[in-house]
Amino acid sequence: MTLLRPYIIYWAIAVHIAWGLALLIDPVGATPAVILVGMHWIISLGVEGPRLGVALLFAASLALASLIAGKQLTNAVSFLLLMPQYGLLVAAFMSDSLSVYGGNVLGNPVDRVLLFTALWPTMIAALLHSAAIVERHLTWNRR
Amino acid sequence: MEQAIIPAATLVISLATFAFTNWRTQTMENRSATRDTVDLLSRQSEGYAREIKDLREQMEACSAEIVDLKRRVADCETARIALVEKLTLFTPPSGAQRD
Repeated sequence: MTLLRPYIIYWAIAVHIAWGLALLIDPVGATPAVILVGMHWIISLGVEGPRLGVALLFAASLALASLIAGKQLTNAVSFLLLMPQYGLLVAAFMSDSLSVYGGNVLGNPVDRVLLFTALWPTMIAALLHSAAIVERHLTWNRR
Repeated sequence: MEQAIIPAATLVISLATFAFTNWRTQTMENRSATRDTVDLLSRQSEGYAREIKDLREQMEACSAEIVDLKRRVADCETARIALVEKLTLFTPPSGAQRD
């Protein structure tokens, strides 16, 4: 079995760093577009702008630390460092699914097909990220 | 309302994934350890079987040697008896005068 690097986790880290910086630098401009990374659910809970940016950067940093430290960490600790980002992606997947199903974003009606085509890449990435994390930690001792 | 469910559901899914992965890893490690033990016992068993075969061969060789030695002892005994008979013939009767 050939075990490759978990590129989808690097992808998630890069996306969250980019969005975290965007939300810190220009919160007004970036906030309305956060649905593109499935973060509209967290805005409805009152976490937005720079605070959301810091949360994304924090989760991405922990995930990056987990990947860089590699086997210097135990399987469980390495997994726990990936959990915040994993949680963000799981939440994004559920939030996107609910938006597509309900045809609205934060109470505003939006065409379902438009939502689906816009959110589907993020939803696929969330699923692949979950699979990558599970595979990474199930094969921990074989790497 | 739907948005409020997401954090709770996320927490449940994340914990379930963590628990499942840990459980699965543990199961695989245990299975691997069991397989290693079985392999070790199997190799030891083969070693013992070879040793038993060698010992059996040595035992058969020893048995053949014992038979041979018994035969030689019997031959020696026969020779001894013959020698004693000859000596008896040449031994003067008791009380006879030497010239």
